[in-house]
Amino acid sequence: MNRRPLLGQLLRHVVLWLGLVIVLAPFVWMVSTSLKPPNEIFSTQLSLLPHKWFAAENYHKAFTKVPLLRYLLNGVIVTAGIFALQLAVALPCAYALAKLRFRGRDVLFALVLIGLMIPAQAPAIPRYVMLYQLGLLDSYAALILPFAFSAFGIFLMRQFFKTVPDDLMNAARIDGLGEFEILCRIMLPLAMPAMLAFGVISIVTHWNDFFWPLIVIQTGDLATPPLGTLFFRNEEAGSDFGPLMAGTVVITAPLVLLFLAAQRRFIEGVTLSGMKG
Amino acid sequence: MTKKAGISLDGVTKSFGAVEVLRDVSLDIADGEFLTLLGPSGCGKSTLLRIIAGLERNDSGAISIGGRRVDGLRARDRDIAMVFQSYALYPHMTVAGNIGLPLAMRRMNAWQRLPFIGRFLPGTRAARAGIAREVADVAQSLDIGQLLDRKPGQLSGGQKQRVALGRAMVRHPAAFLLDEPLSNLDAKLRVQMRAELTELQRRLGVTMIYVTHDQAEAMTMSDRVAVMLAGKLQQVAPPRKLYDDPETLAVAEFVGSPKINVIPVDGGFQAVRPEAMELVAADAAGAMAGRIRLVEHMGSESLVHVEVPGVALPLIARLDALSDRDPQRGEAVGLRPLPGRTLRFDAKGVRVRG
Amino acid sequence: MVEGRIAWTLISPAVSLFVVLLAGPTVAVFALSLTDWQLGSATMNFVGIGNYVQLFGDRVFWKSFGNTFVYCFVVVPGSVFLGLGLAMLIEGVGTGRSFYRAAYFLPVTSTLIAMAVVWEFLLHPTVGLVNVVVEQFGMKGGDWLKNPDRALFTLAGIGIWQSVGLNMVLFMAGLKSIPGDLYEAAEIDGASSAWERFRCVTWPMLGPTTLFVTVVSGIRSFQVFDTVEVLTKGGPNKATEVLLYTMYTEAFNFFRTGYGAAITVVFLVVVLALTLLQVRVGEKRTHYG
Ligand SMILES: Nc1ncnc2c1ncn2[C@@H]1O[C@H](COP(=O)(O)OP(=O)(O)OP(=O)(O)O)[C@@H](O)[C@H]1O
Ligand SMILES: [Mg+2]
Repeated sequence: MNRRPLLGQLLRHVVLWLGLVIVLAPFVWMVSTSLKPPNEIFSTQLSLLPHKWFAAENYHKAFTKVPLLRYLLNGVIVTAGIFALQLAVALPCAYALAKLRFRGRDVLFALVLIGLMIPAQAPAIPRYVMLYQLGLLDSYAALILPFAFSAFGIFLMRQFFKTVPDDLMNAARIDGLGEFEILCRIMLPLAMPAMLAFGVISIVTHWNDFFWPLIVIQTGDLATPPLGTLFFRNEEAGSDFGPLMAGTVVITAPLVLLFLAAQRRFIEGVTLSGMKG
Repeated sequence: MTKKAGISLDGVTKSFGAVEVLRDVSLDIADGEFLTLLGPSGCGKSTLLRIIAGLERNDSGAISIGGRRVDGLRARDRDIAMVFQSYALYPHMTVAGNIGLPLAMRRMNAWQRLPFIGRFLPGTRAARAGIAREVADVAQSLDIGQLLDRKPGQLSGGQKQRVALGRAMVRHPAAFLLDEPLSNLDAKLRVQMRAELTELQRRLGVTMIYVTHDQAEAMTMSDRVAVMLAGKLQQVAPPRKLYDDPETLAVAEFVGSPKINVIPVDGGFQAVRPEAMELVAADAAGAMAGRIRLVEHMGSESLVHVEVPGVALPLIARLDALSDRDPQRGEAVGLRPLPGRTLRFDAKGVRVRG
Repeated sequence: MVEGRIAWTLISPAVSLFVVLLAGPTVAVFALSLTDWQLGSATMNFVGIGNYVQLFGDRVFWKSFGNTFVYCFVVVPGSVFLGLGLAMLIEGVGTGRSFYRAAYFLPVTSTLIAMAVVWEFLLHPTVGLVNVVVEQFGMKGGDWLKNPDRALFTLAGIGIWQSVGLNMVLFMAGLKSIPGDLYEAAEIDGASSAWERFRCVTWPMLGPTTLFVTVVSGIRSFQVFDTVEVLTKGGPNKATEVLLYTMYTEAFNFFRTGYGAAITVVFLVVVLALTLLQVRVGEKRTHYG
C-alpha cells in the first residue's frame, strides 16, 4: 500500500474524476434540467442549479401528461412476473440436471448451452405470430410468457447446485427428508445468493428491454418504462425538456436506486451475464 | 432405550456400468459390534456402506438389519444413522437445528414443520420443546453444549465432527455407519477422537460399521476388521488375528507397516514380518546373505533395509532401539526369520498352513 | 427407475417451454425465411432462397450490414481499451475503489431508452449541453444526429458510454486473478517502470480476458437497436440503418414476415459465429487459470 508514490496516486484520481465528469454528465444534467424553468433550459448560460426552482411544475407535468406511475407499475408487474416464472421453471430443471441421474441428461444440458447462444431477438417473429394467433398481443401475457424459459437461469442454478456436495443430500435422506423437501429445505436456502444474482440479471434485462415491448404493445396503458419513455418523448415532440427530463428521472430512478442499494450484488450479477454474452 | 441390531449381508453385488465395484459380499455383524471396513482407496468401501444405508441400490444379494430385510426400504426407513467424511452439516442451520432435524422429521408432521405457520399448530410447541431437550442432552454428552446457536461455518473440524456424531446419536438408531469420519482432522485430534469414538460405541452399545483406509484406526478401534480389496472381502477377523494369521498374501501385505517381507520361493511365497526378521552375521546358518542399503532410525526402533540377491525389493528387519547392534550402510549381513514366524502362501497368494 | 421419473417430472416444464418458446421459434425463423408470407395474409408460398436473393441484391441491406460492422468496429475497441484503462487506474488507487467502480458502472444498469432521450437533449444542436460546451471552446458543434457523416459515430459514442463500465468490471475480475508475486518476480528481473510491468505481466496475463471481453462486446454491439429506434430511426438517409432495425421495420412495420425472417437468419448466423468464437476463447481462458 505505502509503495504507491503520492504523485501517481494524485494523477490517477485526477484522470478518474475527469472521466467521471463525462460518464456522469447525462445523469447530472438530466436531474438539473428537470429542476429548471424553460427559459433557463434554453439559455446558453451553464449552471447546475436553477435560479428559479421549477421542479414541482416539471414533475407535476410529467406525471399528468403520461401515466408515469402506471409505466412503473407495469415494469414491476412484468419483471416480477417474468422472474417468478423463470424461477419456477428453472429451479427444478437445474436441480435435476445437477443432482439426479437419468437418461438424456447430457443431451438436455447441451440444449441449455445451445439456448444460451441464441440472442433474444432471433425468435421474435415466430413468437409474435404465435401471440397474434392466440389473440394475446397487447397484453401482460405477451410481455411475460415469451421469457418463461431462461437458459441462463437454468445454467446458473445448475452450476450452483453442482457445488453442493452429494453427501449433504444423502445426510438429509438419512435424516428423513423426501426429495421435494430436500429441494425446499436444503437446496433453496443454500441457493439464495445464486438466485439473487439471477434475479439481478433478469430484472435489469427485462426492466430495460425495449425491443420486445415495442413490438407487442400498442396500448399506452400497458407500456413498460422504456416504452413509456418513448411515448412521452413523442408526445412532447421533443421540445418541453423540463418535464421530459423529469420523466426520465422517474423512469431511471428505480433501477439506479436498487443499484446503489445493492451495488456488489448488481455488479457480480451483471458480470456473470457478461460472461455469458 | 437403545435397540441393538445385527446387520447381515448376503451375496451383495454392485456394478456401475461395466465396472464391477462389489463382488459377492457376504458379512454378518453382531449386535453391538464395532466392525471396521478396511481397504485401499477405490476398493468399494463407501459403496458398500451406502448400500447398507439405502442411498444406493445393490444389484443382487440381500441385506437385513436387526433380522428385517431392508433391501427395498428407503434410507429414512432403515433406522440407521450415518456420519460422512465431509460431515455434511447443513450450512444454513444452527448446530441445534442440525442435530434436531432428524427428530423433527420423525415427530412432527409436514404442517407442523412449516416455517412460521407451523408454530401455531397444536402439538408443535410440545414437540419442539421435547426435541430441544434431547438435542441439549446429546450436545452435553458430546461436550458441545455451548455451541448450539452457532452455524457450522463457525466451528472447528473437531467440533463439526462432534455435531455430526450428535446428529447421528440423537434418534438412537439401530446402527451407526461412519465413512472415514476422522480423515479431515489433524493427526493429534484424530488420535483423541479415535479413543472417544470407541468409548462412545461401548457406552451406547450400538452396532457400528466404520469405513477407513487407515490401518491404525482399524487396528485400535474395532472388534473385527473386514479387509476389502478390489470389491471383494478378503478376510474378516479381529485385528490381532488379521495381523498374525492372514488368509491371503494380499491381506498380509496390506496390513502392517512397514510392509511384510515377501520372498518368492518354489511354488509360492514366504512372508516374514519385519519384527520377526533377525539380523545376523552374513555366514550364519539358515540366513540369507545381503548388504545393507539403508538404515532408518525411528527413535524407538531402527529399520534396516537389506538388499538380498534374487529378491526384487530390499527386505526390512526391525531392530529394537535397545539392541546393541549398530548396523552400517554397505555392511554385509545375514537375515534369518525367527522360528515359527514364517507365513507360507501358494502361487495364487492363498495361505498354506502346516 | 424412480430417480429417472422424478427427474423427468422436474424438467418437463423447462423442456416443453424450451421447445415452444426457443427451439421451435428459432427453427420456424429458418422455415419462414423460405416463404413469401406476410402477417395476416391468407397465402403462404414457398419461395426457396428467393428472400435471400432479394436481400443480397438490396442496397439498403448492404448499407445496414456495413453500418452494423462499422458501429462494432468503433464501439468494441473503444469500450475495450477504455474499460481496460479504467480497470487498471481503479485497481491502482488506494482509496475510493468501490466508489469509482459503482460510478462508472452506473450507465450499464440504467434504462438505455431513458438515457437515449437524455442524450438526445444533450446533443440538441442549439441548447444541448454538448454543443454549448463545445462552443465555449470556440468551436462549432453542428448537428450530431442529423448529419449523415456523423450520426453513426454519435450512436457509437453512446454505445461506448453505455458499455465501458461492464468491460471495466470484467477486466477488474481478470486483474484480480493475476498473482501478485508475478509483479515482484518481474521487478526482480528488472522490469521497473509501470509500462514494463504492464508489458511483461499485465498484458500477457490478461490476454485471454481481453480476447473474451472483445468477443462479448462484439456480440453486444452487433445487437444495437434501442438508440437507433429512439434517436435516428435509421436516418438520416440510411446512415444509421443497422441490421436489427432493418429486421424490425421489415417484419413489424411492413409485416413482410418472410423477408424479415431472412434478415433474422443473417443476424443469427453472425451472432452464433461470434458466440462460437467466444466459446473457443472461453475454453482457452479456463486453461490459463
Ligand atoms: N456413482 C458412481 N458411478 C460410477 N462409478 C462409481 C460411482 N461411485 C463409485 N464409483 C466407483 O466405484 C469404485 C469404488 O468407489 P468407493 O467410493 O466405494 O471407493 P472407496 O473404497 O470408498 O474409496 P475411498 O477410500 O477413496 O473413499 C471406484 O472405482 C469408483 O470410481
Ligand atoms: Mg469412500
